[in-house]
Order: sequence, then C-alpha cells, then structure tokens
Amino acid sequence: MKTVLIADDELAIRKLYECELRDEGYEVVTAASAQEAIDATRKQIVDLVIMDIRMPGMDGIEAMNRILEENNELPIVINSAYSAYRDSFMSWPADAYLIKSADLSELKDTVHRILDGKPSGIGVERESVV
Amino acid sequence: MPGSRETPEPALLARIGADLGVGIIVSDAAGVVTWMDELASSWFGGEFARGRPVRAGLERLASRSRFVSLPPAIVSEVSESPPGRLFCLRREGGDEFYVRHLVFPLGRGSGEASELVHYFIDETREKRLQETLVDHLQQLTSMKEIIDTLYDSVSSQEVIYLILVAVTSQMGFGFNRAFLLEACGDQLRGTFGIGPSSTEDAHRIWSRLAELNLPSLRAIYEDMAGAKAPPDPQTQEIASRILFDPSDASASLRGVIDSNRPALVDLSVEQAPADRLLRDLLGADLVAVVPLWVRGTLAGVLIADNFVTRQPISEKSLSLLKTFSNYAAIALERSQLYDELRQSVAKLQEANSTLKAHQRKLLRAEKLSAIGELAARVSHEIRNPLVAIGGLARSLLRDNGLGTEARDKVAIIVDQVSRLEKFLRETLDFVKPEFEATTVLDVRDEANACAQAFRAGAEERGIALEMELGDDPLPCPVDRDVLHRALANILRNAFEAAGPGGRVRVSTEHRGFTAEIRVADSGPGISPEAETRIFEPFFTTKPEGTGLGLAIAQQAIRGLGGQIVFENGPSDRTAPQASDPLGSIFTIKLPLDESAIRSPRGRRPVPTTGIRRP
Repeated sequence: MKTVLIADDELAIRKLYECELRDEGYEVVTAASAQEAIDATRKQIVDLVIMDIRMPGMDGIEAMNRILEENNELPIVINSAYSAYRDSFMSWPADAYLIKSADLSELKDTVHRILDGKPSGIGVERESVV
Repeated sequence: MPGSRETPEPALLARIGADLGVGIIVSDAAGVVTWMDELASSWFGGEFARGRPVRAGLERLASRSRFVSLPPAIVSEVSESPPGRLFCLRREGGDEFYVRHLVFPLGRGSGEASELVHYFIDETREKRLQETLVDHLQQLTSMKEIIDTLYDSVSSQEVIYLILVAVTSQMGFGFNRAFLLEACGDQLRGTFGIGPSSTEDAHRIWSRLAELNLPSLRAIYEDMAGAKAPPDPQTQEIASRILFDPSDASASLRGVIDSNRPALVDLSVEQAPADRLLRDLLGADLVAVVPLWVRGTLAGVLIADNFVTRQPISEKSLSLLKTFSNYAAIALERSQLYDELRQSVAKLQEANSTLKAHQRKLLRAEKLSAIGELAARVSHEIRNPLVAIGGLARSLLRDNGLGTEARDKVAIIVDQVSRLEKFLRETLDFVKPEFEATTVLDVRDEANACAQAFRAGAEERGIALEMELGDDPLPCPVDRDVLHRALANILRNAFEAAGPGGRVRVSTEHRGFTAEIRVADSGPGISPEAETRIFEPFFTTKPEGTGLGLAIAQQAIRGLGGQIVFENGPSDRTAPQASDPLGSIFTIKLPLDESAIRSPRGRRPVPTTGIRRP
C-alpha cells in the first residue's frame, strides 16, 4: 500500500485529507509543520508528499527543497491556499501545484496519477457537485 | 680745474660742489662763464666754456663726442618745475642724461646781482628711479586689470581664453602666440592656442584689432567669443595636436616645468621627443615656458613665443609672466572648481529627481504589494476553513446512511462553499503583480548590455570589469526594462563597493530551472549588522546613497518571479568560484523559459496539474 504524507498546520485540513485519502486506499501519515514533514520522510518510507506552503516556522517550499536534497525522486504536490507562489519558479521542483479546494477531486486525481499512473474514478462525482 | 678768475668764495664753492656732487659755474650778470669747478669742467670743457654764455656751454655739452650732436632735441628742456630747470641730454646709443640747472644771484650789497652761481645737478638716477616707478605702477595697474578680469570670469573656457588674450595682447604681455597645455594624468595636452599663424595673418588680425581699438581685455575676449569660428583656427589646430609626457622632455624643459619658474627654452638644443614634437608643431626654437602650479599640483603649462615678429623675449616680460602665472593658475583652478561644482549641482539635481521618481514608484509598488499581501492573507484565512467545511460536507454527502432531508441540507452547504470558493478564485487570486513577464530574452545578452553600459565609467575610475557569460542560452520570460532596472542597480552597487583599483565580475549560469546572473565585487563586503537590511528601502551604508537601489532591484526581480540572493564574503559562498573577487556577490535567479529547463534530477513540472509558468 502506498503511503502519502500530508503536511499542513491546520488540523481540520489534515483530518479531511486523511479521511479522503484513506478512502482512496492509501496509507496516510500527517505532519503539522515543515520540520515534522522532513522528519517523517527520514523516519519512514513515504511515496508522496502533499505539502502546504504557509506554515509556522519553515515554509513548505523550503521543506520541499530539503526533502528533495535527500531524496530527489520523491513526488511532492504543493497544495496551498495561496495562489501567489504558483507563478513563482521557486515552486517548480514540485510535481504539481494545487490550490486548496473543498472539491478534492483534483487532488485525488493528481495523487492517483503520480502513484498509480492513472486517474481515480471520482471525476463523475466532481462534475455532479460543482 | 678751478677757474682762473677770482671769485668771491672759490674755495667754498669748490668744496660745496665736491661734497654735493654738483657741477658749479659762476658767471657774470649777463651769463658769461667766469669760473667753473672740476665736475662742471668735465661736463662742459673748462677751456671752451670760459668766457662764453652758460647756454653755449650747454650746447657744447650736447655736441661733445659722447652726446649725439643734434640741435634742439639734444638739449631739451624737460621741465620748468622748480627749483630751476631740468634738461634732458641724449647720449649716443640713446642713453639719456638728466641735469637740473639752478641759478642763484650773488649780491654785493647794492641789490643788483653782479654775479650768478649756476648749480648743475645730475638727476639721471632719480629720473630713472622715477621712470621705473611709473613703469612698475603701469605694470601693476595692467596686471590688476588682467587679474580682475580673470577673477570676474567663472567658466573655465572663458578663463583660459582670457589668459591667452592677456599673454598675446598689447594690453597684456604682447607675445605673438600663446598655447595652453592642461595636465591630464601624466600628460600635458594642448587645449587652446591663439595668435596668428603667419605674417599675413598677423597683419590682418593686428590691424583689425587696432581698428577696433578695444578698450579692455574683456572686450577683446568678447569680440573673440562672439565670432562663430575659433579665433585662430590654425593655431588652435596646432594646440590640439600637442600631447606629451613631461618625462619625455629635455632636462631644461622639464626643469622649467618642475621648478615653477618661467624661462626661455631653446627647443633645438636637446633632442628629446617632447622638445622635438613642440618644435615641429610650433615651428619655433625659442619659447617662453610658464608652468602653472596650484598648491603643489601642475595644472598646466603656458607656452608663448614671438613666432611672427621674431622679437627677442626679455627678462622683464618673463618676470611679469611669472607674476601673472601665479594668478592665472589660481584663476584656472578656481574656474575648474566652479565647473565641477556646477556639474555636481546638476548631478545632484538629477539624483534628486531620480530619487523622487523612485520614491513614487516604490510607494506605488508598496501599495500594490500591500494589496497583494492582503488578498493573499484573506484568501488563505478564508480558504482553509472553507476547504475543511466543504470537504467534510462532501464526504458526508457520500455517506449512504444519510437521510434525504439531511443530504439536501449538506448539498446546500457544499453548494454555498463552492460559491465562496468561486468568489475567491475570481477575485483575490487575480490580483496582478506589478510587473509582467512579457518577452522571452536571453538574459546573457541583457547582463552583457547592462554591464557594458558601465564599462566606460568603470575604466575611468580604474575598476576592472570582467565578463564570463556561459555557453548555454538562458531564455527567460522577462520585462526588459524591469530586468535592466534591477541589473543596473546591482551593478552600480558593485562598482561603488569595488572602488578605484577594484574589480567586478559578471557571470551567468544555467542551473536546472533557473538562470543565474552573478555580480561579484572586490569590495569590503557588508557588516553583519547591515547584512540583513540591505534590501530594505532607504537602508544605505554610503553617505551619498539613497538606499533604494537594492530594494528596487529586489522588487523588480520578485516581480519577474525570481529572487536575489546575497552572499557576503568568501565564507558565505554556497558555490564558490575561484575567479570571483572576494567582496559581496549578488546572484539574480530567474525562472528559465520552459524550452531551456533541464533538471539534473530529471524533474519537470507536471504540465497538466496547475503549474503555470509566469
């Protein structure tokens, strides 16, 4: 089973993503800060990281760069409430840059594509809701 | 020999004459000479004069071999000024001899003078002194006029012309030609020359000036400045070709320049390169060389000659030139300082208006960035809870155990959250940055163009500029003006930090997703306290700095989606390069155009998942 690391300082978001991704059939670990995320990738095997940008202390961009320095094959999806960094080259090493949305279908699609090489089957639901 | 005739007090008169150094003649009441002392005898010829009128003695005096024999001009009465009368006698060779004639009657009690005593006093020395004094007074007066005129002038061009006019005009020192050589570094460079270039030219110029009869040096200058063409184009042409290093001059020429003592130099004596150059250009051997020193620094050299009239240059005119040169040098320096001052004022005014423009831009940029910052915060603070609410509502919706009524309510929550999210997307996410990357340019070319714009100024100040542009093209989506603004500020900072004798190295590099422009200087780096503040607006370590350069640069580069990284000194280096100077390094990192992205990690942005290039 593939393991997804969720790094976000908001408990509600971690909770939501954890439930949703478990439902999608992934093992989920969470980190409440950038440093915790780095530590988590050192402690256990992680197949993909979903990284928030604005967190207290170190931000997600720097955490991503540090993680990539140690493991440059690890896929990282930036998932932020900010749109500002999306246009910045600083986020370019990421495999994807998503803007947080209550509709998780784009996030799920991205995770499926990166980890399983195919989109998930939830596209229908997304269309029916939006 | 004393007179043979008996005189009332011959012995006394002879003693008076000897003591006072005056010639004494005694005559009868009709003026016929009856006795004369030794000095008078030596002047008038004792044997000849005796028994003749005194007047004839004077004529005799004039006609003697040591005087030019001429009728009235020889014995000309100079003045009636009491006491007595002053005669001027011209000797052979034009030498003048002044003699004062005083007559006293010798009474014999009856009231009617029976005899006359004539005193002849040689006043040539006094007269000479007086003439010299008058001469000096005239020189002082004209020197004062020249100097006053010089000091009234402020532009250096005007001062230079006035100096040359003073040297060449009859009102000044009357040389035929004059050249001003200004000191430029180690060299002397001819800047101006006036005076006729041939006899015909001289005739034309001098008769014109005589006709105009201009009343002052300033009037001559104004006449000259009013003309459209340079006053003496050929002489000016000669001046512009003079350029030599004083160390290439003969010992005598160099000696004059170094000693600050004007002197005549014969350019044909010693075969030194500078002497030969001057001789060939001026077409003259003998020139007056007047060094102009101000406070221990050679400001220039004045060269004057009598190229047309070939008149010898007198010691007197040299010594006058010496006095003049001191004032001329000061006037020259003063005018140069004034010119510099004027330039500085203009620069300050320009800097001031640039500063104001920058302040306005900064203010605008700050406002924009404040709006952007606010938008981002609002977006962040609202979006996170919305994601949680909406996401959890959606997950509830998928719960099959939910009743129809509850499902409808949850669907409303999902719907409302979507509406809010849509609002956020459509408004706050589209607050535009100040700058827009509009064209894809190879930043190597831009870095090169900017650096070359600084090259001339840098070389002038002795700062070496090294360029090392990599082989890889570095296409980046940028706004050229914005990139140039940033580069110019970084480069200016580097050149100021490097200072005279320092060096600045500009290099470019292709690094994965980014293009890097490194600007390294050999300056002292920045203190640790200052280091964290260098990008702050209005923070500066330089007395004349605005503190805006680096702030503007950073803002510009951020606007292009890049960043500026500062490394302070060698210990700070993340990617040290042996050829970098040891001062500060500013690295501008810009996102490369997609076509040029090479990732050593094999990573690329996933094109379909929201990564959008600027």
